[in-house]
Amino acid sequence: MKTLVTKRQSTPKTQMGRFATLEEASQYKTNLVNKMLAKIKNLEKVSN
Amino acid sequence: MNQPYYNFEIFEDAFRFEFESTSSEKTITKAILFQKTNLLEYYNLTLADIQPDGSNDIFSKSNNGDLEKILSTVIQTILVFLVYYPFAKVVFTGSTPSRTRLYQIVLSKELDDVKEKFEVIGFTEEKIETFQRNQSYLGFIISNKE
Repeated sequence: MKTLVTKRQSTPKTQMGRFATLEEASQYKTNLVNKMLAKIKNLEKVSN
Repeated sequence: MNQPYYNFEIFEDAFRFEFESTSSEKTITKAILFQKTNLLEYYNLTLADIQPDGSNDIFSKSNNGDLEKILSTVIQTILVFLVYYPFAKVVFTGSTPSRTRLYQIVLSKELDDVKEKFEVIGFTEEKIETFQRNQSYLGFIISNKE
């Protein structure tokens, strides 16, 4: 009986983190930082 | 500043900087952009590799053996940005937790030099405080001392 061997496809290289322009890259990180800043502001309110 | 850093070029009224990471094997162009956030006077810093195809990669591992020198250069650009914009607060984090830890190591080395003129803040999910060595942070804020 023949065993069917399927060739495993290679995983495509991730393109995560690659952006067409520096502004787009920056916007991605700025969105993350905006979330952090919102938390920081809450922390400041609590500590005050 | 005691740590070696790369010479860099300043563009767009100091909102963008570029420098080259060099080794015997390759040269990689790095770009830094300061971008406004939702909070007045807070600016996000983004470091990216400019790829040969012109795209910008914020997660790439260039393995050029000079990461500390790159991060020291980033800190230098922050200090220049703060000369241009004295009331700005620069927020920065690594694009990965390990890179954030490296920023922390470099900041720790530079701290004695910068703390006289600059306020360095570290923040986590739970707290925001003056930067302390041997603490783990999610990110950092550098501004001129008032």
